[in-house]
Amino acid sequence: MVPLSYMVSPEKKPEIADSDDFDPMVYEVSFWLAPLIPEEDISRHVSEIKEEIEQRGGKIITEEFPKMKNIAYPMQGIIEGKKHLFTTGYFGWMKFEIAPGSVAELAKWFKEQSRIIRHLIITTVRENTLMWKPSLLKRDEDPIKGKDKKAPSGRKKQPSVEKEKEDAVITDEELDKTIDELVVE
Amino acid sequence: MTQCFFSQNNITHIDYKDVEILKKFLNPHARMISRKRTGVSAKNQRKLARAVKRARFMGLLPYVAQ
Repeated sequence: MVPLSYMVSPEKKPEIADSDDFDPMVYEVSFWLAPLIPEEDISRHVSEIKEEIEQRGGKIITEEFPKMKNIAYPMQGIIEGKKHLFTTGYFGWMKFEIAPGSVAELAKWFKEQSRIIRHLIITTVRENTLMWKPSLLKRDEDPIKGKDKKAPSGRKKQPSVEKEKEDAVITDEELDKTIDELVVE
Repeated sequence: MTQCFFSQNNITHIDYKDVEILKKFLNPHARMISRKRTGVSAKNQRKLARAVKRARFMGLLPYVAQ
């Protein structure tokens, strides 16, 4: 019994030492699932991906469930030995924490999956990096389009409004006069 | 003075999935607009370029539009 335990422990030790050498880093994988997959099965595929990450000691931080989307250009995928050109797909992503040593294996696994048309693994940060808000774009619209357009448009608008007002006043006065004339008659 | 959009809005990490933001820095042909016109700082322009290239690879943005 005793020698057996000795036999086991030296084998295990180096593995632990390896994982300690590299602190886990935050990664993000995004992927396109083939649109041929029925929508009911998507959750199964996602959980398979999650399992694959967790098997290698990864921890999921955040994720977005795949949604049907248009791809910006036709993307080729080989499913069951047949080439397909996809213009839509299910796009999803997940952020996870994993030791850098096991990322290469994970990337290899992703490559082997024919149901995943394309994937991208990058290093990122734990915090939310999606900063888009509708207000952000409104505020920014003018500086990017250029300053030149701003000034003339502002100047032009004011006189035009004043003119309209003057026109309106004149028409009112004219109307009053005509009404008065009519009443006198 | 023109100021960098990303430093103004405290965006330290430019995410390639933020297509709506990235689109602001592309012309109708989906080419990147120079920082001379957009006022983006050199550091953020490099980050932006990387994000746009990643978005193109992932089919979130086109390489060429019409």
